Amino acid sequence: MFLQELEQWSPNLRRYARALTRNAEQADDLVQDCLERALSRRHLWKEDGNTRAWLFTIMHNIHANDTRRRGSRPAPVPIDDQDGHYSRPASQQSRIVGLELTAALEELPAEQRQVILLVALEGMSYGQVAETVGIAQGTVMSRLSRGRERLRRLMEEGAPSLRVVK
Amino acid sequence: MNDKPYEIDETELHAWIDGQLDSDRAGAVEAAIAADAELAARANAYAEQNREIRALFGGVADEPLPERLRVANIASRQSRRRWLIPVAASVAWLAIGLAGGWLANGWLGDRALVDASRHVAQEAMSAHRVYAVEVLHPVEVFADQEAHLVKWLSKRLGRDIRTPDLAPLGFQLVGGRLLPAKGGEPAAQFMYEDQTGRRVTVYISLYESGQETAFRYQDGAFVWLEPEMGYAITGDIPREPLLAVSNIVYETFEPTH
Repeated sequence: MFLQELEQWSPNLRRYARALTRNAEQADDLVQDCLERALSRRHLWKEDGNTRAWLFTIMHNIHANDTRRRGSRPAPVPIDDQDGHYSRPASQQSRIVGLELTAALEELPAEQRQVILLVALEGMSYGQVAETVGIAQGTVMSRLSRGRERLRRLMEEGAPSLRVVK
Repeated sequence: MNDKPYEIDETELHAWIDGQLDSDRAGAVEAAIAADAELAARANAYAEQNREIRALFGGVADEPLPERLRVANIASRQSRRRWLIPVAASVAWLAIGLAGGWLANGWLGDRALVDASRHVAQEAMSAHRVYAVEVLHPVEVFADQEAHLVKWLSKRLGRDIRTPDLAPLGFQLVGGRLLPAKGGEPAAQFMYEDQTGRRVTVYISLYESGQETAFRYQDGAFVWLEPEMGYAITGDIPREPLLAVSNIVYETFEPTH
């Protein structure tokens, strides 16, 4: 049961990790760390509990620790990935002034980005996001609305100060 | 702003976009959007963010998982890591054996001894390669007649042979057979198998080297010599778990002098 549950959620973890780190290798490292930790903490798993929230919480904690350890340095993004995988050709005129979504996401505080991604990718209810991240539901909602508004402005108006990180 | 017909909360707008708003409040949000072009544009932009995030990353969940992320692989890696404690102990033990046994026997530079170990290792490897792949007849005598097997091989080798218990490492005895060794002497082979079908064989031959060694890794086998016997452990498993197996086998046959 336990192993099947882990297997079942692995693709979701991988998808979220990819969005979180924007680096395929780093994302898979994160998923691997997460699964390893989950397996070694099997005794904490509750069969009738929310396994997805449990796994995402584990991943969150690892990611937060990793980020802290690396300081505030943004994740390294290989140039071919940046050009190929995650950005798409500009299709609307708003792209001329605004940022690509992935670049705009990068500008957000991590706490807002996480909430936006969990809702968009996982379709989690605000209550589930609250459980996963370990914050109140009201905080989830305010992070979501602030994050999305910031994202919208970044994409429409461009970054307040141009930041070139390569 | 007083003339706005429908007062809605900003968080209600997002809940509506995410399909998480009660139906009675959803009507209010829809009415507010209909009456306010700026609000409608924002709602549209937020919904578009969701769609774009899904379009960008959604496909990742459909990609086949790489081997290193397969739960079964991670689980078996972890259980292998649990071996490292006994393995580490046996490495320490091995070092003592090397220092004590080999030096005492003037091992360093002794080519004859290298040749002897290599010979035993190669015979064991050949026997393993031939019989470990057998499905119907991997052994002459199966484990259900273990007592008979032990008695028979002990008699042929003129030694008290026992079957090492490898169950702690997940290997069960399949059975054993008699083999011809160098110079027409007999040798014995015990075969073990784990749940995934990986096999290890324990090879014991009458082999007169006149020397005694601790074990060494030689041509894919762990080998050690007693003055009149050679032992070799080979298997379809990596070197570290094979060392753990060898350690148990060594202890089983360790001369109790």
